[in-house]
Amino acid sequence: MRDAVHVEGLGKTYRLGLRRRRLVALEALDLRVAEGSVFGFVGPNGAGKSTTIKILVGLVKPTTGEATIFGERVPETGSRRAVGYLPENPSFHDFLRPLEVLSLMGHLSGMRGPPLRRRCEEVLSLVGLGQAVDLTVRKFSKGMVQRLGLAQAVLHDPPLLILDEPMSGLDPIGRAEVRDLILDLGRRGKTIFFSTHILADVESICDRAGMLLHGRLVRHGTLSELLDGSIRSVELRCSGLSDAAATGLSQLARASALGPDGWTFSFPDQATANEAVARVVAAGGRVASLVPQRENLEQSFVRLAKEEPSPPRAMAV
Amino acid sequence: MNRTLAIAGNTLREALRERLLYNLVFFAVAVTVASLTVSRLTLGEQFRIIADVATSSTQVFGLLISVFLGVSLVSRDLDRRTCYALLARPVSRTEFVLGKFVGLLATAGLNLLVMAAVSALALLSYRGDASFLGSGYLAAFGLMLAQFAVAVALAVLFASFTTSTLATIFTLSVLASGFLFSEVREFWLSAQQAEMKQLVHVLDVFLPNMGLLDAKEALTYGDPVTLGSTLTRAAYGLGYAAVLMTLAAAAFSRKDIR
Repeated sequence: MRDAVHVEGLGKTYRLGLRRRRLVALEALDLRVAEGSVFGFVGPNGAGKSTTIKILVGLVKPTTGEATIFGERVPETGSRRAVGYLPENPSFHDFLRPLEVLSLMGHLSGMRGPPLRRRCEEVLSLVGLGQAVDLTVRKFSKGMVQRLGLAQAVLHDPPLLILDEPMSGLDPIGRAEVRDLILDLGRRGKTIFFSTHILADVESICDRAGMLLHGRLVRHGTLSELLDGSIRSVELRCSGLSDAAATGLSQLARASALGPDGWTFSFPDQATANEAVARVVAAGGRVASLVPQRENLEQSFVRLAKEEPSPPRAMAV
Repeated sequence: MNRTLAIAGNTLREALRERLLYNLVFFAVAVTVASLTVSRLTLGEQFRIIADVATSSTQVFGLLISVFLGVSLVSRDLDRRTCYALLARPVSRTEFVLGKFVGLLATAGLNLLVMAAVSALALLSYRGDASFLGSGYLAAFGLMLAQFAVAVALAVLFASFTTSTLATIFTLSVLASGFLFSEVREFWLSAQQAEMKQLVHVLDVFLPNMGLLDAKEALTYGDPVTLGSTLTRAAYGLGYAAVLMTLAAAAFSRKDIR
């Protein structure tokens, strides 16, 4: 399967202010996104996600490295023919109505006449703006602008969608609808490359993900590769323990707490947890639950963020 | 070409919604109409006064519209990030900048048509016949479009790489220098010092000769003007604007849209 996005050694250093201070936004990024995959690009604010995306859509020139989209070199104009782009916090001319925005975008993508008109109406219905055709963008809520952004991104039916924080500004219902839309587009064979710092979105939508920290890609792969599935701890909840039994169990556990429904213990592995269960039963206590805790994407990301040293991002030259 | 026209059309629509445009056009019309009354203070020079005020207000307000709209419509697209979704389409930066220029020039052209019509009505109401609608009238207003083209191109050039405030200051400064330079150019050329001649040759390249594009006197004083001369001067203005737009496209192509 060919690569929809192929990035090699991509780097970007901004020069800021009169003193031309250097700000390293992205460092030697290597990345491949296979055609038809849904790729989540995750990282905290300022990690370099938007810079990468802006390089891919030709808004920013890379300092080092190169990128191609379906084999077309970025930032050649041709590389953007296959791309639908949703900017972070999209903005449109606020005096236009949604159909006028889409008509302008369609013309820029080479669409014309009645087919363009039909497609504009179709995508407005798709994103739930079918009832807002008479409003100007000035009267749109933030969520409606986000939906219009999605509509213009899918307007010309591109094989690759690059979405920068697509859930931003949406209420829970809107988020669910956009998630369903992305899943639907993925099922229809579109390649989707989207950035987010909401890791639950990645777990629910993506088949692959890359983690960006301090301008560097620290991990990437399939979700199962990123989440190793190993047990990080085992949580035991029980009640009816004497003080002596509880003290004995606390010595085995990593952490313990007494709540209104009884004790909660956290053990480092399954064997220790099994031994603790036997002691509870022997002491006449009742086991309420025994739950193995696996690392989710968020925990994995937080752990990596702590392990990864933060380099100096800006330095005077 | 279609993409350039789509951007130009959108720019024209945006410009026509600007309150600034209507305010300036209103003032230009008001000044021209007022000249009908003011001109009565003179004896025998009423036509010249009306023509002078009408062409001057058209020129001044038209240049202000070109500069302020030119700078604001380019800067606003960057500041409000409305250009992100546009530039992520298969549109080159050159097409984008050219579209902005064409849309802004069309706005200036519409303003010019309105002002030329208002001026003609004012002159017609004084004179009672349309004998002034000749080559002088066409040259005076026609060459103003070339002036506006230079002003818009300067505004787009500066707005493509600096802030809106600086772009406005730079554009107005270059235009003012262009007008002043055209006033002193012949004087400096006739000076004894060779350095002055060299300076003129350098400034000929870097400053637009706005006086060359100014044919108001052909209408006001009835100075003779030929079609060939008008076309040559218009070609100079449009050529100068084309060079500026080439520079603007190059500057905008290098710009990171952050």
